[in-house]
This record gives sequence, C-alpha cells and structure tokens, in this order.
Amino acid sequence: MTFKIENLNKSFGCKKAVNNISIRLEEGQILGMLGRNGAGKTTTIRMMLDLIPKDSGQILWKGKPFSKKNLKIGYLPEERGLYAKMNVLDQIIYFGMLEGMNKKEAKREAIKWLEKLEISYAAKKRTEQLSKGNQQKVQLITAIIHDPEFIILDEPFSGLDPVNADMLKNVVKELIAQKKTIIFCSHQMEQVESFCNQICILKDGNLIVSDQLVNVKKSYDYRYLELETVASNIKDYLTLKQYKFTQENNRYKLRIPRNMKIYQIIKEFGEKFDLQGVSLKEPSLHEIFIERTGGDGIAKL
Amino acid sequence: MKSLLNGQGETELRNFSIVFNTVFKEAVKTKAYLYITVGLVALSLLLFASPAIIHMFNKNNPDETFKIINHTALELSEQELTGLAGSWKIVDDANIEDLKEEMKADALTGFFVLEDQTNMMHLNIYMPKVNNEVLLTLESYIEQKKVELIVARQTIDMGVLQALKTPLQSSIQSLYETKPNALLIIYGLITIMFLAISIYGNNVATAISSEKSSRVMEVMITKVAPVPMMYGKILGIGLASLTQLFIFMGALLLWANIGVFDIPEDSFVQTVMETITWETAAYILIFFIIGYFIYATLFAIVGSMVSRPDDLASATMPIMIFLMASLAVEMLFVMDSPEGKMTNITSYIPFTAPMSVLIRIVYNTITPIEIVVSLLVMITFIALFAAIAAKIYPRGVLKSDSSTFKELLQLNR
Repeated sequence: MTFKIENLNKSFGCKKAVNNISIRLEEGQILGMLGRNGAGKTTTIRMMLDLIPKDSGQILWKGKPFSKKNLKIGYLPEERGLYAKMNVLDQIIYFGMLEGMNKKEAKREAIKWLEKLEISYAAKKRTEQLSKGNQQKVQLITAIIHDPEFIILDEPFSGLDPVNADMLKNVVKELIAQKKTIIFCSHQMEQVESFCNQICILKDGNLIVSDQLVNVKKSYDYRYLELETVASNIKDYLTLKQYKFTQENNRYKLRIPRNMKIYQIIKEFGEKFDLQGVSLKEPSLHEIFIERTGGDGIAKL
Repeated sequence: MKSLLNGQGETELRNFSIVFNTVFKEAVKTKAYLYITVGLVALSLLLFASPAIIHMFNKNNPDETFKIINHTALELSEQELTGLAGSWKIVDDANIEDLKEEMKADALTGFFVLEDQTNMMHLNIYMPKVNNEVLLTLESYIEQKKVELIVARQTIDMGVLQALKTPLQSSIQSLYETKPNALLIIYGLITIMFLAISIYGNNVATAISSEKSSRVMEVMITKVAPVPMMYGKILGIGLASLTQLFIFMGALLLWANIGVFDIPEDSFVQTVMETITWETAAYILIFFIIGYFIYATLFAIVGSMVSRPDDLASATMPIMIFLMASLAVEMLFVMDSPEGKMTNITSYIPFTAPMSVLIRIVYNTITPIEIVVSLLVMITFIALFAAIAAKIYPRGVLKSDSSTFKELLQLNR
C-alpha cells in the first residue's frame, strides 16, 4: 500500500479524539472519509499534515513518513480561508510560491486555472469582492495549483450552486483521472458514492468501517426491494407477512434478507397487487452511514 | 546555522522571505499607509517651513501705525521707533477723542500719551488689543531716552553713557552637551517611537487574528512553519514602518539640503539639524528596530491567542499598558534626569531601554559600553520572547477559540 495510517492515536486531555485507527490506500485511489461532527476526521487530517503531534502511531507514504518533505500535498480545508483584501491572482501566486513554485510558474498556472474555472475576469479583483462560489473556486485553485500527488478535500462542494458544483466536480474527476491520491471528506453521501471506491467511517475517534465501498455494501445481510403500487391494501399485507418496510407515497421499500430469493418475492407481490414499478437496491451509503454512526430512521428497519 | 543549511531550513528561509515580501507589499499598498506617508512628508515640509510661517505671523504688519502724544522733554525719534516695530508718528498734542475715532476706523492701530508726573513719567496706552511686543519695545525705548536725558543733564562721560546703554545679554545654557531645546527633539523621537510601536505592533496582532478568524491560517499553517510565518509578518510590517520613517527622514534631509527654506539660527529646525547627526540617526534606527521587535513579538503572541480581531483591544491591553507606562517613565523621570539612577535602571529594562538609551544618546550621557550592554540585554530578551512565541504561536493559531497564555503553554506539553 502506498499510503498507510497505522495505529494512530490522539487524546486531548481525557478525551480520546482518535483511537488506534489504521487506514490503507493505494496510489491513485480516492478514499471517502466519513464521520459525524467531532468523529475525529479533522484531527486525523491535522495529524497527517503535521499540524498537531500524534500521541502514537505512524503515517507513511511509500514507506517514508507522510510529510511535505517526501511528497507534494494539496489541502482544501472545510473552513475556507483566503486573504480578503488581497487580489485573486496575487493570492494564488502567493500560495503557489509557498508550495515551492517560482513566481513565473505560479502565475502561469494561476492564469490557466482561473480561465478553466471561468473566473479570469476576477484576477485583479480583491477576493472579498467575489461571490462565495467564486471564492470557493479560488480556494480550490490554491489547494491544487502546485500539482500535488496527494490531495485532501474537506467538503469541497458545500455552499455551491448546481452550476459551480458541477464545474468543481469535473475538476475532481480530472484529478481522479490523473491518478492523484485523494482523501475526500463530505457529508453529502451521494457525492462520496459517485467519487470514492473506498470508504472509511469514523465514530467517536474509532474507525468503524474501512473497506472498498462495494465490499461494505455486500457485507450487509439485506437489500431493498422497492415496489410501486396504488393498491392501498398492500400495507396490511406487508404488516401481516411481517416485512420490514417504509412508505413514501406509492412506493414501499422492503428490507429483504440477502439470502431470500428475490424473484419469488416479486412473483408473490405481482400476483396479489398491480405493480407499477419494481427495483432492487443495495443499502445506500447514506443508510450505512446513519446506521453505523448511530442515527435513527431507516436504519431501524 | 546548521538547521539553515539543511533542506528544511532552506525551505523555511525561502517561505519566510515569501511571507516577508508579500506582507510588506500588501502593507504598503493599503490606502491608510499611503495617507500616513503623505502626511509625514507634509509634516516634514511644515517643520522646515515653520520658521518662515512663524515669522510671517509674528512680524509686525507694515500697515500697523502708532502715534505718541509726547508731553515730556524726551526727544523721541519717529525713524528710530519705526525701525523697531510698525510705523510711528510723534506729535506734541492731539485730541484723544479724534484719535479714538481713527482707531475705530482702522486708520490707527494704537496711540500712547506720554506725560510727566511728579518724580515719574506716565504712559497711557490706547490699544484695542494689547500687543506686548510693541509695548515692551516702546517701554524699553522710552527708558533708554530717559537715561540719555538724565545723563545729558549731568554731563557724564560718553564712555559711562555707552556702558549704561549696553543691554543685558542672556542665553539659556544646557546642563548636557547638547542644545537646550533638544528636549523638544526627544519628545518628538519618543512620541514617534511610541506611536510607531503601538500602530505597527497592533497591525501585526490584527493581521494574525484576522488570519485566524478568516480561517486562512488553517491553509497557511500547512504551507509555512508558524515561526518563519510569524517573523515574516513582524519583519514585513516592520519594514513597511521603517520605509515610512526613511521617507520622513529623507524628506527632512531633502528640505535641509535644497536651500529653499531659510532656517534661522537657534530655531528648532536648526537644532534638529545639529543634533541628529548621521551617528545619532543610526542609533535612532537601531533602537527603533529593537524597540519595535520587542513589542511586535508580544503583539504577535497575543494576536495568535484571540479568535477574532474584535477581542484584540482587550487582549493587547497589557502590552499597551507596558508601552504607556514606559512612555510615562521616560517623560516623568528619564527626560528630567538623563544621568539619574532611574535612567540607568531603565536603560537595561527591555520595555523602556529603547527610549531611555535614545534619550541618553541625544543628551550624550551614555558611554559606548553602556550602549552595547543595553543592546545585549534587549537582544537577549528578544530571543527569549521569540522562544516563547515559538512555543505558543503554533498552538494559538490552530485554536479556533480564544486562549489564555496558560492554556497555550499547557497545550504545548
């Protein structure tokens, strides 16, 4: 494995912020790091970036300590931060130079990215004059201008309108295509599902899930069968047959044990009710997350 | 030194210089900086033009006309009086009411009635606004004429008469090897130092706390190590401050050398030019930098401890109290007694030393060894503050809430 976190620990006083976690990631892969607020994600990231010392454990990149000395790292923090009074171009160049680029190179790349994200008109404007979405684009540019091998994206799409969100999603897709190794933190599970083939879930400082997303889903002993029907008596039938289900308008979502034969169930319902639609679904990441991190609702099915 | 030579040291040095350059450029680009710089140049111009301005306001208006009704035997000369102040007319008799009317019509500035009384002379003054300078000149002139009359009547030798007429010459002498009005220069210097330290020190604290509150610190801290970042800021803002000081001093030098301004002997400007030699200017620069550094490091620490710029005023209060107390000590004790015990002590206390040593340099009451010892003390304290800052600053900037000094030290453990 190219990237390894091994037995990482961190406490703040009596509180165990990160408890003996181990994560592995191949070069060029993208890992979705999930967890509720205060689960230990930011503390883990801060230890990775050497912003706070770890109590024990190690973080390695190709067998060497994970550090700016051994690889180029890009970081987009959850809490955005730019110099409000500085003009956009100067700001990007400044951050690029601090990552080891010379001024000419940083300027060239800054202009290229500003054009790509359609904000080159704002190059000479003060950052505070830009909209929130455009500031977020500038923030992303400052994180990746130096062409890092390893990128940490913490909630990259929060607060963006759909057009800007799509634009930044394309940038992330490009980064994935360029085989960058990425840690992607987000509370928007659909995005994590669409980008990440590997996930880890943290809860109260403990790593409770760490695997390929497909394996995580397969590890669940149930699937969902979604039936669409206008028949109102289906509800009584489901209760009678002791199916675990939820209802949303004319849609009934049944939790079916993985070992049950789906075709038989579909046949059974098809004979008794007029079905407008049938679909089989794996548990979504959203459900997995809520179930694993202690939420209520669907997970109680 | 060894650490500077290895890769990490080189990176830190490089990043320090990038932060330093950027902070300097951003500082000098602000409108506030531009306005203050222009204000300082204007102030320097005003300083040099001040003798001419004062002269313009003080010189007697050529339109000022006075009359004297002389009822005595004294021989007063219109020509002699006109040479002293305004233009004069001497008459033997005139109607006082008419003269009053002339004054009301602004045809006459004032008039005087000089008359003999028993064993004395009496001068009645009619002036709507008493001009003391004119009055003193006139009284002195009349006294002189009176002596001349008495002497003429007594047939006294001319040599004795000349000796009697010789006026008293007086001049203020300084206790120290400097011009008497150098005190004003010292007031000016320590005021500039106080203002520069408090303004630019606060700028350092504000810049750091703003970075924290805007969360840009979270990004910066991944790119630059905290200590090079802190010193990049302190020095960048410090250089901006020094640039302003250089522009001010350069403007003063320019006005002094272009020969446009007529600088009278014994004027304040003349004293400034004689007192601030190149050597003194170099010392001013050194102690300005040292003084700034001592306080700016403390301001940086405090800036890293608060979470919002709004909290800065209360957080920087202890430093401002130190700074104001130092200024008060300088004004109350050191300036009055540049060789006193208090002055000696304050020359070795880091918070007061920059100002105390400056005062002693201007008064020439400090030996080179004392200057060196004081410098060493200050540099030691700067190193100590830097070490404390290196411990506290990295923790402070990462804490999103405000922290106390004790909390940050505990976090360090």
